Amino acid sequence: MGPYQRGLVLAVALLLLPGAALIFPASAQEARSGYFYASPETQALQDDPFANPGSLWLEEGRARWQRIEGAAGKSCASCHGDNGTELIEASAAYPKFNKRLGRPITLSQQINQCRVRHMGAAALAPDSEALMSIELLLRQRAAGRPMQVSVDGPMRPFYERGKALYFQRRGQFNMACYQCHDQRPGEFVRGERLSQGQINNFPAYLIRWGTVGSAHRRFQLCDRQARAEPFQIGSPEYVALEVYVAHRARGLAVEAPAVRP
Amino acid sequence: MVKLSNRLRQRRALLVGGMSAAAALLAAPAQAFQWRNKVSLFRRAFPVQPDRAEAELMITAILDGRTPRPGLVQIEAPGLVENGESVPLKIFVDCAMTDEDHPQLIHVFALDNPFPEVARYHLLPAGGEARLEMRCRMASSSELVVVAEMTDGTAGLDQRHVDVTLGACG
Amino acid sequence: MAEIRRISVPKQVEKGEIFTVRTLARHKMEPGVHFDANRFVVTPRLLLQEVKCHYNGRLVFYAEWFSAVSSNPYLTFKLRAEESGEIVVTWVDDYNVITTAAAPIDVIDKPKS
Repeated sequence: MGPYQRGLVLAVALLLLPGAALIFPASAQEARSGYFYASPETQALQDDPFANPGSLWLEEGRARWQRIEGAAGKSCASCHGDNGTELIEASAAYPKFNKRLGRPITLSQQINQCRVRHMGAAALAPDSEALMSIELLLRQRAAGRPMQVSVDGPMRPFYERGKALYFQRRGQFNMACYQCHDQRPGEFVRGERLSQGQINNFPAYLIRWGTVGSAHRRFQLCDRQARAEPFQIGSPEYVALEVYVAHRARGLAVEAPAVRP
Repeated sequence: MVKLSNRLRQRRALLVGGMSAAAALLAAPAQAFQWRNKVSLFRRAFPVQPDRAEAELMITAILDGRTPRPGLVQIEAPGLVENGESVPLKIFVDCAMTDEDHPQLIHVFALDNPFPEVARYHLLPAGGEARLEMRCRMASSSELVVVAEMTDGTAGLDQRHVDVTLGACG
Repeated sequence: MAEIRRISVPKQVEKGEIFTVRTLARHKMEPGVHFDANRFVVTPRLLLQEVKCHYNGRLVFYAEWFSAVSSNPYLTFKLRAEESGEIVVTWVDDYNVITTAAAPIDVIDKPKS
């Protein structure tokens, strides 16, 4: 290819770019954390380490990390050390494929697996304050690192299933996730500003809940708002959806503790 | 949804509330009858509607005929909040903070709340400066009103309209 | 576990300086108007009603809270530094359950210039 042809190809590519952006608005958009779409007051609350209510859960999480529970007489720290250094990479990589169960599990489910199998303690209730505080602590240690969920090999079918759910229209409003979060981020639905629906910040403190909740609880809220029957927290559907959405947020920095409206 | 008239909405709320209270009496487990639940149950059966006139009456009663000194109280709140659950509010009373000149009492009101009074702050000269920060709940878009009663008998008032956007598809 | 109370004051201040006391409490501030999941039992009201601040045993600030204070309530106020000692903030709930958080403060004399 001579210099002339190369220039022509470049010119054609440049001409096509804006067109491509019009046809595929989502793909042309860079991934942005929900922080970008939050109001300045909410951003200020997240940035203030003292006033950030999520830090209260972190404090609980630190205490729980050291607490000995269950028949084995172990705490989280007995296996993973005081700082849980080897878990930092992993915290940003959930949901992960669990070979024993043959399906991906979320970080919450992994914590409960640890409790039941290695500590001999009872599993914590989904989205309970205790579970969320430990999960938030793990995510906080990975804060700033890029989201890196693997969707290769055995994860592929779950990723495809999640993707199908993401694009499936549901509920009385007959809406799919992508209609708000791919096509209209930044716009308003009644009073609420739509974000890209990235989950790099979960578990997050949501002002409307007044507590820290998981991404699944947020999915339920989305479903209810679209007048769809929500799935259960930790259900295979939501885990698959989380696999897709987490992979969609790959590269975004993990934010914890995050505050959202 | 069809917008119901306020009166109709009140009646409907009363009816629904009354029915659920009756159902609660029949079917609720014993803990519903703990004394501390009774007030709440009553409140649910006969929900308190936001009453702006009453809230304004409360403020009038506090002012008690005094004309608010302009510029005495300065408040800061966002004009638009995403969720009424947490509205940041900053209060400043411009005074010397001496024994003779400090705000004895600072009242905070959200006018369209079912219970308009948000908080009361008692300040002492040991504070050095009358500057407060808090977060309050607002049921709907309305005015936040802060009234300061000074030791010398004067009063100050400042208000700010806050638009509260509720959750989508609420 | 849920009882987390937190205050923050500067470690060291000059005498006569005005400093900020920041407080944060973990509390649902339940206004008592909600049904819980089974639609019958009303979630009972449970609020923090009072916040007091003592500076070396002296009452320096006092607040009354009602149902419209946000959950996980945040409050800041100012104090004038008098002498070194302890700042104690006390929260009192509906059932007179008292929770406190304390922080030491070191007051230094102004260097003579």
